[in-house]
Amino acid sequence: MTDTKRDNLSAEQLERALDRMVEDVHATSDEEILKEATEVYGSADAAVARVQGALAAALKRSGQKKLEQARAGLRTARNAKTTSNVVELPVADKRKILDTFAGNNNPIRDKLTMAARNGVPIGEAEIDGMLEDLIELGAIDQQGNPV
Amino acid sequence: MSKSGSRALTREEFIEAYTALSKAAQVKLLRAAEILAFKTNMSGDDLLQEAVVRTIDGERNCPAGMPLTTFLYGAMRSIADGERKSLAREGAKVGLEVLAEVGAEPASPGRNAEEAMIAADDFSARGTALLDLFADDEQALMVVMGDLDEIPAEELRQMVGLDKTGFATVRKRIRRKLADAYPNGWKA
Repeated sequence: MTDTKRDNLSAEQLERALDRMVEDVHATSDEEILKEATEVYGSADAAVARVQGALAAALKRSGQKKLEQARAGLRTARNAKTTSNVVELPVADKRKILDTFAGNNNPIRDKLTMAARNGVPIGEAEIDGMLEDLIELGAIDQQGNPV
Repeated sequence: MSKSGSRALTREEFIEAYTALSKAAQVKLLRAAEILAFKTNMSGDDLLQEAVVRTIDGERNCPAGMPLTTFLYGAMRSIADGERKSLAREGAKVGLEVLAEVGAEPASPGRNAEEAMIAADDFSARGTALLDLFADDEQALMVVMGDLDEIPAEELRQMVGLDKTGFATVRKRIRRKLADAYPNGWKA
């Protein structure tokens, strides 16, 4: 009756046939589909429970996904903090990094010069603060290398 | 805003509309999910859940004013098509590995052609499986073959020689048998 060759069916043919079945479900009267639900699922309520179950499961998955994203964000933030290795370097190395920038960065040069002029050695906490500022400004990376 | 430019339902509006669907609409949704699952390797319930999760996560937008069931049919169809295509790629990969094992040379310029060939075989196998399901039900087989050949519904009904009620009964039998035979999608 039709031209269908059972061993040479295309994806498009199959999709069209399935789509038509869906269209048919959509066109079925409410009364008929409820009757069908009783035959297939035992009751329409059983089908409703599954459809609402899909929503409940989707909400749970969505919540878990958000939680996972938040955790990943936190991990990234923590990693960023812990990879700020520059402050872990010996003081002499940290000074060297600052000296490199002192040549072409006025505020840093002024601070270092002022400290030298007053004979007050610049403290490590202050050095760390300046290095953190340089990282924030994007002038050096977490390891103290010029960017 | 949805792709069409109209306002999209918010997450809360979508959940509210979904919860408020009539019993009949929910049954239709489940039946449709079970049919479309044949394109995938997941169950109808999982396919529906996937469509819902993508909507509440904002990956898909339901235009305000569009019937929710219409939107969800479309979302499930699109997910199923994506899933089918990725399964086809997987199948093609496995097929190529088999070709390599038996010593065939999958030359790279011909790779796409081979993948397409293997994917086509997979779709063809599904179609054949669909027809096999109705080997002992001539009316259902004729309707499925007519659907595969895209014969207009009314013409098909007349060809099968059924009245509207009888035709609807055959269609009901088809979707029931399909859902029963493949509760977890294709070959899952």
